[in-house]
Amino acid sequence: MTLFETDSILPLTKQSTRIDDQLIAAARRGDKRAFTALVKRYEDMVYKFSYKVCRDKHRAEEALQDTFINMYKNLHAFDGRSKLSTWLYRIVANNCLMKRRRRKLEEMLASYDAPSTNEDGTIEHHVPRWEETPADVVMNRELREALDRAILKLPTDYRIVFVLRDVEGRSNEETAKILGLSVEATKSRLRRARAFLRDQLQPYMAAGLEGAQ
Amino acid sequence: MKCRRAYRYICEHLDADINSRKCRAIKKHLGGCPDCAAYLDSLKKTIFLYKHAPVPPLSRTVHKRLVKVIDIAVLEPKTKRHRSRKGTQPAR
Repeated sequence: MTLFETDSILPLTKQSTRIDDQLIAAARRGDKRAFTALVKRYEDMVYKFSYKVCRDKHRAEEALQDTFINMYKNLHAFDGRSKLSTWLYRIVANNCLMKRRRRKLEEMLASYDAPSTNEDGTIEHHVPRWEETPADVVMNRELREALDRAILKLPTDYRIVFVLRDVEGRSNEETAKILGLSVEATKSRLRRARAFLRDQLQPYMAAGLEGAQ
Repeated sequence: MKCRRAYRYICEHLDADINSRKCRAIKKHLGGCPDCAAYLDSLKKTIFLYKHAPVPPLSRTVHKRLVKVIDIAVLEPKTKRHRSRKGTQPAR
């Protein structure tokens, strides 16, 4: 197998980082095959991340193209101090953030820092149980749409934090680096995003998932 | 620990070290508070659902289009620019 025939990057290993370094060096020298090989290695990761943030196939495909064009244009600026995947996540995130429409929701999200409580500090309202375990839930169209609707209500930066941390499994530190935020700000966005999404899904899940059966 | 504090820490430390002092305090609170326990459970399920929501696969057509777009938008113009610069060199 040649350097140009390497497959998708996951799982990330020291060897895959070394291959990335070699391909980047070759692409910088103008080697088209090296750049195409980098695209092949990372296209799946970029596409899936874009889809999870945009929740739309066509927008994710558009983001995929934008990201790699951007990557090529800025390849000289990649200093190799962070992983290539971190750099690519940053390009996708910036792309999404440039297109964002900042909403008043951000102010509203601050209310997710704490629940309404009684004077004795207990929660004001009874919290209904979500009886069904997710493994039992059929990921049908109705549920997928409910998940999409909920996450699309989040401001883009909150959405990106949630996807990077909870869906992609990146650390607080790497997520903060990708978004240029402090670790504390990242944690705060994550806390609010989780609570917001949970509340958005509450009517659907607590209804006994009658519609999902 | 009161619900208000537990609520905040539940969100923040879902993936925290289970032996940390905060986690032990949360667990103690959850043991005696069905509402907070139900809340934690629903948060975990929320994350699970998003983690396992299907993503439509990247098709070969999209891959081919991507390679073509990169060829046209990035790699070819560079070659053309290079040729064009060479072509415009003043004759000696």
